[in-house]
Amino acid sequence: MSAWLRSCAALLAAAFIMSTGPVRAADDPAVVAPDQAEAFIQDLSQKAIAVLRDDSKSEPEREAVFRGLLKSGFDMKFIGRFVLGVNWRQATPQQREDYQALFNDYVLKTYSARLGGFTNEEFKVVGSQPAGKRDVMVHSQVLRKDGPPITADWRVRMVDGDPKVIDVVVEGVSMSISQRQEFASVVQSKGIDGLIETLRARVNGDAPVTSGGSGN
Amino acid sequence: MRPYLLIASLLASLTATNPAHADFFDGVQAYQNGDYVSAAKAWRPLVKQGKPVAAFNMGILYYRGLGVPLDRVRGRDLWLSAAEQGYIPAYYELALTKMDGYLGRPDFEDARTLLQEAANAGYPPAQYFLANLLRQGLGGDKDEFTAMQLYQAAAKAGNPNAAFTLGEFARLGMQETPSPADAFLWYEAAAMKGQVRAQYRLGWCYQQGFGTEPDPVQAYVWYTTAAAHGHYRADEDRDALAATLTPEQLETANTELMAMGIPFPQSAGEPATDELAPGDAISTVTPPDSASPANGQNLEPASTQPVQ
Repeated sequence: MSAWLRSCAALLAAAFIMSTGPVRAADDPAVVAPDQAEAFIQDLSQKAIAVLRDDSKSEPEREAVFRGLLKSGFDMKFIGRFVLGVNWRQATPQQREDYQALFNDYVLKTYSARLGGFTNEEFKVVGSQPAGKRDVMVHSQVLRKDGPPITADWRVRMVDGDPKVIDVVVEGVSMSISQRQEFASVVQSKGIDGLIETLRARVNGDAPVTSGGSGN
Repeated sequence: MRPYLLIASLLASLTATNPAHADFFDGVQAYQNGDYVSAAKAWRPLVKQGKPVAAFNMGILYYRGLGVPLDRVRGRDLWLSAAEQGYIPAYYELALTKMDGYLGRPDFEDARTLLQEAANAGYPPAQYFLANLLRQGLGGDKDEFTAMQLYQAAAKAGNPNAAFTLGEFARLGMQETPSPADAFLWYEAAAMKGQVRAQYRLGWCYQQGFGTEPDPVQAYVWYTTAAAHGHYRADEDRDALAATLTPEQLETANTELMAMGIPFPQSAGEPATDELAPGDAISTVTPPDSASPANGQNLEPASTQPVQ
C-alpha cells in the first residue's frame, strides 16, 4: 500500500468512475441531492472524529463504534464487489461469501487502527457536485498543522433509501480503483482462491502471545 | 550451604518480582487495552536483550503500525530474529508475510515451507493455514487428505478457524453427505471462542433448525453477536428476523445480549447504540488459539452448492 494511504483520514469505500452524463433525475428519491450528500458526510465525519478523540473509551471500544460507522456509512458489499471487478462474476457463491467476509474484515482492520493517529486534524466539507446520473461527489479537506491539507472526495449514492459512500478519492486517487488493480494482479497469478488466502493473511496476523509458549 | 539458607533463597527467588518479566506482561496488558505506545515501550528493552517473545511482539507492532510508525520490513526482520531463535509463532507470521502481498507478490510455496515448520511443531494457526493451502493446491500439490488431518488437529487443539471450517464442511457436505448435527456443534465450538463467521452461522442454524431445534431467540442473539463483531451481513439477517419476533422474545434476547455485553438495537430496526454495555469491551486482541475473534475465517470453496 502506498504511502499516501497512510496519510489519509478517509475510510475505504469503492465505486467506479462513471463518465458524467448530462441527464440527471432531480427530485428522484433514488438520487441523492448534493446538500443531502454534504450533510451526510458532515455527520459521518463528526461521528468519526468524536470516536477518535474520545479518550474515555478503550481502543477495542472505539474500534467497535468505528466498525458501526463504517457499516452504516459505506456500502461495503458494493465496494467489495466493485474491487473484485470481473472476477466477481467468475467466483463461485462460496468464494463470494469468503471474499466478502474477508474483504470486510480487511477494511476494518486496516483502517480502524490507522485512524487512531488522527486526533488533531480538522475535517471540512468544502463543496459538492453531481457525478454521473446518481451520485454526488462531496469535496472535503483534512487540515493538518504540519503539512498541506489533504483533499478527500466522497462519492455518495442512495442505496435502499439511505446515502452511502461508494468510493473515496484521496489526493486525486480513487481508492477503489487502486485496490481493484492490486487485487486483479493477485487473481491473475494466483486465482481467486489465492486472493482469498492473501486477504486471509492480511486479516489473521494476530495478537502477541502472553505465555511465551509456542502456541496452544 | 545450610539448608535454611537454601530454602530461604529458593523462596526468595520464587516471590521476588522479576522486573524483566513484569515489563513483558505490562506490555501485553497495554496491548490488550489498545495502548500500543506503552506496549512498545515495555517490549523495546527486552528486544534489545534478545528475547524472542519480545521481538515477536514488537514485530506485530511494526508490521501493523501499532504504537510505532508502520514499517513492515522492520516487523518482518524482528520476526526473522525470533524465528532464528526457534520461536515457532514467528514462522507463522513470516508465512503470512509471504502471502499477504505487502512485501512482494504472494509466494505460496515459501509460505508452505514456513507453515510446515510451525505446523510440525503443533502450532494450530499454522496447521489451519497450511490446510487451506493444501486443500486448494496453492504453493504446491493439492492434498485434501492431509488438509483434513490438519483441520482436525487444529480444531481439536482449539483453533476456532479450523472449527468453523469443519462446520462449513459438515454443512455443505464436502467430504460426505451434509451433517447438520456436526455442523451445529462445530459452529457452536467456534462461536463460543469468538469466531465471527461461526457466530453468524450458529444464528443461522438456530433460525433454520439446522442440526438443532429452531430457536428464534438464540438466532437473534447470535446474529446480533456476529453483527457486533463486524460480520458483513449478520445485521440484515437479524433485522429480518426481528420483524418476526414477539416483544417478549425480543426482550428475552436483549436481556441475554446485555448480560453478554453485546450492544443491540433498542427496538427492532433501529441501529445498535454506540454505547457498549458496561463491563465488556469487545476484544480484538487475543492470544493465538484461545478465545480469538478470529476474523476472516474461511471456508475453502470446492463446492458449487449455493451458500444459504
